[in-house]
Amino acid sequence: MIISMVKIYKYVLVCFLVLFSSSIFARDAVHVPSRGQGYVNDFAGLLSHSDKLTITKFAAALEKKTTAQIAIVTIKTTKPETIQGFSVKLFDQWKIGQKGKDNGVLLLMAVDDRKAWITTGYGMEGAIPDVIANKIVRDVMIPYFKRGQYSAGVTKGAIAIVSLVAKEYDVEITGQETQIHQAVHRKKSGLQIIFTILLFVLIIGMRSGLLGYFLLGSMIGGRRRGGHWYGAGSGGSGGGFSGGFGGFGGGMTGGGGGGGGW
Amino acid sequence: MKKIWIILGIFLVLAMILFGWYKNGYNQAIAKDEEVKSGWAQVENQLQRRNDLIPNLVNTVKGFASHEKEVFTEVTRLRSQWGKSASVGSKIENANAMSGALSRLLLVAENYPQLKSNENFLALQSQLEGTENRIAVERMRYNRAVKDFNRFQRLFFGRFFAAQAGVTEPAVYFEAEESASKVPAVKFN
Repeated sequence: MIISMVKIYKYVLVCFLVLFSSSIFARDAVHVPSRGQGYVNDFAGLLSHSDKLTITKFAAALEKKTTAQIAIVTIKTTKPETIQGFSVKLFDQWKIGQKGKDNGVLLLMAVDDRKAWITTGYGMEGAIPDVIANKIVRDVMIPYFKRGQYSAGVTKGAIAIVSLVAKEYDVEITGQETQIHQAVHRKKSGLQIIFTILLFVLIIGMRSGLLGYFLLGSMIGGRRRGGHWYGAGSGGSGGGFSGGFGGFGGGMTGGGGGGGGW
Repeated sequence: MKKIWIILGIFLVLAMILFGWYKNGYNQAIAKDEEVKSGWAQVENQLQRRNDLIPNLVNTVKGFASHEKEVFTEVTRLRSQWGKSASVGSKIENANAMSGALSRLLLVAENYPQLKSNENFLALQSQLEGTENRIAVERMRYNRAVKDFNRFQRLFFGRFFAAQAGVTEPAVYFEAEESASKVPAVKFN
């Protein structure tokens, strides 16, 4: 009798471990997904919902009018990598901007390292020269960061980038573009909820056994199974947030850009 | 009569296989060699860009720290040497020496608070920083191409195909010195 009780306890314990171990690890090291989840990727969990929406609106309008893509990423730390090195790797992995045009810009902010860096694609070096990238970080963003207003600082920086790119393409972006606004809301209903539930079930299945693993594996197919290519920092969630986002397009960077610390 | 045709047929098939094999190997050697060459051209572009920044940088620093002659002469000397170095190896050597000299120059600048807050200097410094970053990126891509080519060259028949493509030596890696890999960072206080 006692032995069987112990056995049950053990079984339950193992079940709990299997179920929760992955989430414990996930809290220790946030993994950067192998693909961008949207224009805004708030891995450090610093941005307010409305600021995310604002940036997404600007970015979506920018892409619609110019095909240029911006990615705004917050992260806890890039260590042991430098922020420049990490930015280039992230850019190469996500391929921000259109293939051939290389018109992508990445704004990376590492809150625990107290550093921010703008990386420009080959085609954006004219719109945002290094000195200007440096100035955006130094004069626009860092004053906010010094006061702990991370969300506002990142948003102001993102809008500065958008307006520079828009100027290069000779268009105007106000952030009030209505079609995009609708697109954001339409995306949130119906199918997405079902999909989310499905994904949730799959993840639970994956954590508790091989079946889910197999299913998810076959769904993702040829791509890397984990979907994560890089681990750094801690806490926070990716915050999937699209707003008409159709994935980054294959742009390359030569390592141009600038930034600084506070 | 029939036999001759069969033998001829076999011969033809063999010739086609041989031709296909040769064409494939040759094309691969050419493609990989081109990767190395275009990768190096990109590296050189960025090194040139850095060298173009130097006169301006030296003049700006000189305005505040005119007596730090050694470091100026070294940077200037290396810059003029750049044009004379012909081979990839000597250019890499020159670039690494320049990285060291530049970081010494920026270290000197650290001692002059007025210089450090000079707008012109800050702009130059961020340009230099961006260029160092670009060099690092192109260097990484170049080294990847070198690795690919050198591996190919060491494969069975690889040396033969590489020689057919006109390359007998392995490509040279761009190894950065320790001091060079440390990009002089901008600090704002």
